[in-house]
Amino acid sequence: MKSSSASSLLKIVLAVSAAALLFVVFWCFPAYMRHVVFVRPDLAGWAFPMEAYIGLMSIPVFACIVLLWQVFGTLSGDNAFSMENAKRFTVMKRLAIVDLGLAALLAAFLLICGVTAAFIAMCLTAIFYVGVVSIIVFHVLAGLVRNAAEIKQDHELTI
Amino acid sequence: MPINVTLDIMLAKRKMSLNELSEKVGVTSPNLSILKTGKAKGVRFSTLEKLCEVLGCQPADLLEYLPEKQK
Repeated sequence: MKSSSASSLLKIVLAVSAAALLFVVFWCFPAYMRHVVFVRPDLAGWAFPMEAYIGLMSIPVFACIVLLWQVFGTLSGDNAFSMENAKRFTVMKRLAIVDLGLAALLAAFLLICGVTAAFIAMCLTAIFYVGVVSIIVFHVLAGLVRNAAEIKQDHELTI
Repeated sequence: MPINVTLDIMLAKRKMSLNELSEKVGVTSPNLSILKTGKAKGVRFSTLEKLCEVLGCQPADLLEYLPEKQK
C-alpha cells in the first residue's frame, strides 16, 4: 500500500472515530442521563454536571485525534520518523494520563456518593482499560519514532 | 565529535574548488559541504575511496583525531 493511501485511510478512521465520539458525548450520554433522571427524578441536579464532566473528559481525546491527524499527514510525505512526531506521541501519552486521572476522579466521586450501578462500573472499567493501553502504546511509539528519527538522521548525514 | 575532516586543507593544497571535486567524485556539493564543515555523522568507504583517488591522497590526509580537550 502506498503511504499516501495509508495516510488517507487512517485519516478516514480518525474522522469516523471523532464522529463516533461526538455522537457518544453529545447524544448518547445526555440521552442516558435523561433516562436516569426519568427513573430517579431526585438525580435531576446531577445531569448537567455529569454531562459537562464527560465533555471535559472528551477534550484530551479530541486533542489526541488532532495530533494523530497530524502524524498521519506526515505519512504521505514519507516523513513519519521525525522528532516532531516523537514529541506528538509524548504529548498524546500525557493527554491519556490526564484523561485517566479525570476518570479516576469521577470513579472516586461516584464511589463516595454510593453510585455503584453495573453499567457505570462497566463503562469506567472500559475507560480505564483504554486509558492504560493508550498510555503504554503512546509511550512505546514515542520511543520507537525517536530512535527511528535518530537512525534516519544518522543515515542522511552519512556521506 | 573528536574526528575532524580536513577536506578544506586538502582542497587548498590541490587548488581545487568544492564544485570541481563534486563533479569528479560524484557526490553533490551540499553533501561535500556537510562533510567539509564537520556536520557529517559518518563517511562511507566508497566516498573515502573516491575522494582519495581524485585528490591523490591517503584517508589519513582527510581525517584527523583531535581529543575533546585539544579542540
